[in-house]
Amino acid sequence: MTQAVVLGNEAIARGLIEAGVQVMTAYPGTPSSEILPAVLTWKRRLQLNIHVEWSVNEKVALEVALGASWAGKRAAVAMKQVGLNVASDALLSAAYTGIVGGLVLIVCDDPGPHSSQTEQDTRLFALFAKVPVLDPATPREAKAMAHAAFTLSEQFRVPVILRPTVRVSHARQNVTLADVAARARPAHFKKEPARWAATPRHRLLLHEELNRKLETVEAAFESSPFNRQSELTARRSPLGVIACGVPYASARELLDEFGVTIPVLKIGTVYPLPRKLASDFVARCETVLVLEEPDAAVELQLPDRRNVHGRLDGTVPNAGELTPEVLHAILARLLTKAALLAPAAPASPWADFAKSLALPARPPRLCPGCSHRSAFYALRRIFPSALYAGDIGCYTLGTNLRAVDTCLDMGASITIATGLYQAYRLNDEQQPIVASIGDSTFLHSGVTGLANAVHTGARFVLVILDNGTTAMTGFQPTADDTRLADGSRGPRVAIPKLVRACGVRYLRESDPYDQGEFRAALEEAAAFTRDDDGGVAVVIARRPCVLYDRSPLDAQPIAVEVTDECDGCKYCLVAFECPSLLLNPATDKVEIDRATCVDCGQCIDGCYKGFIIEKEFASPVPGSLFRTP
Amino acid sequence: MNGKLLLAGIGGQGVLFAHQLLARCAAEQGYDVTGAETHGMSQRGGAVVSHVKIRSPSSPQPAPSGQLGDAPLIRQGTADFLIAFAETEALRALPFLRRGGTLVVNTASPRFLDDMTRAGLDEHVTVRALDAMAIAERLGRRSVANVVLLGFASTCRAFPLTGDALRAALQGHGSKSWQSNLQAFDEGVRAGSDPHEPSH
Ligand code: SF4
Ligand code: SF4
Repeated sequence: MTQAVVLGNEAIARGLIEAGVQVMTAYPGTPSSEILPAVLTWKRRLQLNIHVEWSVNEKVALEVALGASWAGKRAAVAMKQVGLNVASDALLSAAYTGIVGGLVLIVCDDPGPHSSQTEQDTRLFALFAKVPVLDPATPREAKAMAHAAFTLSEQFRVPVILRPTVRVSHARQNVTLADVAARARPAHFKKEPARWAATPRHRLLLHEELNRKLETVEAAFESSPFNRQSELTARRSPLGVIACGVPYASARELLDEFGVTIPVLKIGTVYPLPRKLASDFVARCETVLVLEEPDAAVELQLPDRRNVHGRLDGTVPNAGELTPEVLHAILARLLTKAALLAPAAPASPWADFAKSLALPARPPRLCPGCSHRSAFYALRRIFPSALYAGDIGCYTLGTNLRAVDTCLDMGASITIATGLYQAYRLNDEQQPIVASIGDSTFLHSGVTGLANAVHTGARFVLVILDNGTTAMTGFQPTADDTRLADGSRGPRVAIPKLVRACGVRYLRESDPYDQGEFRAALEEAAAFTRDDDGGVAVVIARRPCVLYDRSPLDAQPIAVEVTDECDGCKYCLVAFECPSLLLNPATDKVEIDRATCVDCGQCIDGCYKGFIIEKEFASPVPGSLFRTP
Repeated sequence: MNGKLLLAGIGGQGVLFAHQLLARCAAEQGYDVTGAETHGMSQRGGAVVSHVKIRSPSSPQPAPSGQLGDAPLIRQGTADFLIAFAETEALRALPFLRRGGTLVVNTASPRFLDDMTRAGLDEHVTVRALDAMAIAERLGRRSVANVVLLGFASTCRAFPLTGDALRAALQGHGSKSWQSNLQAFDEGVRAGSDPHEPSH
């Protein structure tokens, strides 16, 4: 046993390892991306026999894990909350069929949201899918739950979801690492068609079986160590708190700070809710406050909500993260009302001062030298009046260059572009439409949309931004790569071949750093969409992400300077938008920020007056801030 | 010794590295440590804050900033230290600092302290400013400015981790560049201890 300071996601990975996970699959997505790499680290360090893969998408990842579970292996799959939407088809069916080897889904929620398109509550998804779900408050607890989830899954033969929020996944805490015993289970799939290939008649039986399982799970949860009651008194308390996850940890701290002692019920097993435990608690308090994230999964399951306050009656805001500030306000109000606390002054003495400063907002931006910027800049020049259907990845930040007008979900650039095209076609209007999607996202959910677009005769330009990696989430390899998750080699699934196989007749690959050639490719593509015999035209913009692979840049650095003729018109700042271009307010001229500039030379094209030029003697800046961390 | 440290900076400035170093050092010193990091979209040049909470398991007495539990986030108005890697981020994160807390800031502007005085903030907080970037530049590696600032911070009164402990953690960090990190750290410590250094 040793101590280590680890990220919540690493703690979860360690829990999986200690439980003897043998198959680990995932599709990257913030805040879940660090789980699989941590499993890999321990697999290597402890020389364990584990299959680890970055799957092409979350549905694939879940099904691969499920197949392994059916063959008797302990399997885990990690994803972010919206990934479960993609994998939901498999999950709802798997709840009926059940599992053989333990199957644990780690699905990370993002109250806030900080890096997601929704604030959806995976615990409600679990309720809908009829799958047990655990809700950890800290990395330490997440690790214990990851281990326990396997036991639970095998005991009741159901998939189990572990649902950390971003504040658990990206919390850093010291945890105890237990020893890992190597475990080898035989691979053995026992044929049972009435279960694994059930027809609707058998599905009804499986549904009834699942309901019975859930009853026994609920009974077991009544005495689970993940649920804890404190400060129960014989008298009815004027106020009690039921809390889960991070809001529990925060509320606990706040109550200590206030110095008040009230009953608190911590729920770690959210679904199926141990209703007897919860009801008894509610009965012993005059009012109960429920604190949970991001929605109201516990509150909804309480049999009697007459004295209960929470998200549902507006006592707790029904959107956004329950930060310590939000919880402080809620608790202080209710405690004061219950005469348990004297009203206090606002906590932060300088909140108003900071607000009064009107500090510059720092929206996220594409990195200096990002190849997506070059591609978007070219797009804006060739298609000044296009509708831009965007997608999910770093390149969503093409909004900053006004080259992304929509962002819905993974792969929707292509399908939304198809819908836009059909809408304008009905009116006989020739509206230029451009879709942009990254390499990893294209492989995740773009291929089906492209086959559909070609088949139904849609016409638009599709730009596949291929920077050789899944950059946004930490540079995971894609299927269009010979590298696998664990560094071994596998066959490459080439994007150009997939595009051709979808029936696309115009395809060009071009380096967006070569602005002239890239624009020519876009112009040709545009012409193809207008041809009598035209259709979807695809341009693959191929250039490695500068953070991921700097070697092409280092081989050919192009240092730039701004000439004295710069008249401060700000065109480059707005249209090219590189963070390393700064306006010096004293001289009213643009300057290059040497600390962050990566010498890509791309902004030479970003000043149409020609005032940004190549420096004669290129000298790479040592230790740039934007080097690979 | 208990403490709540808030780190504020811009994506790419090494806030995560600083967080990891402090957390590891605290654990090596036998403390319980918990905290929250910023990852993902907001890391692309956006404002990044990291929360670090250090608690001594043997002394359950509350810190000046209140009881420390397992919650990852520091509430506004309760941080003992705000370590800011950029001036704008210092001001943005200021609401986190408690009355009587200490602001450690990397700034090239000698006016920063005057501005704070004019706003009346120096009556309630201790402000310690250093041009850590200039020192890092002098060392030939701009990327170590974060470590310079940590060295500087370690000389603050009541800082929960000693310079020696942090040096040890840096050495054991396993990074290839630990030697230049150590040098940067020591420069920060020197700037913090030397009254003649232009630490504004
Ligand atoms: S990480 Fe790579 S792809 Fe993402 S913004 Fe930076 S350079 Fe572009
Ligand atoms: S050369 Fe120009 S475009 Fe490239 S990073 Fe430097 S300022 Fe930005």
